[in-house]
Amino acid sequence: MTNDAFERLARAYGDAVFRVAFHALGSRMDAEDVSQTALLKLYQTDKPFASDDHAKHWLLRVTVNECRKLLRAPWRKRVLPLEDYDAPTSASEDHSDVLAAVMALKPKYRLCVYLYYYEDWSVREVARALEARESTVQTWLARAREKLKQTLSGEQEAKDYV
Amino acid sequence: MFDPNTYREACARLTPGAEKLEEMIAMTENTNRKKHFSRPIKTVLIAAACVAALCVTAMAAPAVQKLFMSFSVTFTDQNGNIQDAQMFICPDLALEKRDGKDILTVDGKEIDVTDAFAKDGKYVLEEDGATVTVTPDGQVEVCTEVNGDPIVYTFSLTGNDAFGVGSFSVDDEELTGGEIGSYIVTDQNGAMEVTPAE
Repeated sequence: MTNDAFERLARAYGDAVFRVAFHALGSRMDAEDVSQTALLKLYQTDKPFASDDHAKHWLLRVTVNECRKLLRAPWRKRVLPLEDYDAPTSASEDHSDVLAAVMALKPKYRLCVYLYYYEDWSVREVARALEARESTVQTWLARAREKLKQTLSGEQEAKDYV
Repeated sequence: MFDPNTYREACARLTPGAEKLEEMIAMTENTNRKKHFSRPIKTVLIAAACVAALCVTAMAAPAVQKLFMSFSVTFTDQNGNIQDAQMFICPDLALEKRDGKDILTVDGKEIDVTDAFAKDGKYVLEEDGATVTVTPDGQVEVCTEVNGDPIVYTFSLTGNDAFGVGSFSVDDEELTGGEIGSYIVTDQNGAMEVTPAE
């Protein structure tokens, strides 16, 4: 891939790569590391892309795979999983309650939510990226929505009470 | 309630930052460039006056346009003797088993050759006029031409082939390829390194 083509795609989809990585890993630092890895793979590929959308899909799937590798790393298993924390993880004060609630979900749930609601992928596309069945992804989305409803309703009640 | 619109607005603000993204882009391009020039590439040096075929690694250089190149050279060995030789340059090749698949890496690019090995017992790559055949046991055969004459190089990806010795100045006036300048060939801890002459 030429430098010009790489830079154009990296600037166009670098933010999306970071968002996917952040949703999967819950850490800004890890998300930056994985984003760097994904961009390197983009730079090194000689795969012909039919369109920019095709390139974006490929890049986000590479990002998901790199995140999964990191999540499987032995050293990472010694770190307490995010779902064991009561408080949602947030990278900055710019995160809304909704984003914070999403980030409090399990990694696979929040990744599903991001790809489905933000990237507007179909259930089939999400299933392919996460190497899961479509029915499984639908279940994850349903559980995520239920958990979000509980979390956000509870927060709204707390605000109303105050 | 979960409002997708609110979520999308929040996500839109979730970015690495413009400066960070530019830094990633720059690092990617620099990393790959450095990797390309610092990774040694294999050469097979067959000297007319020598019996042994040497399989060595050499430095990639800006003048090298192709992945596979074969050319005649005249060089001066450490004893001051002028020798004719055939030099073959190929990219860094590696074959490994990963997650049950056979992965061939050619100049940093990974190729899944599992199906080819299962079906044909080999993987064939056509590149720059050379036909490269790799077998599951790591044997490589490269068929190419020099001045219209066919020539075959064989080496192993798994074995510990002999490496070159001494330092050589490669005289570019003798090169049939015409694309490579003067090089110094040196022994770097058992690996022959070819670097551009200053």
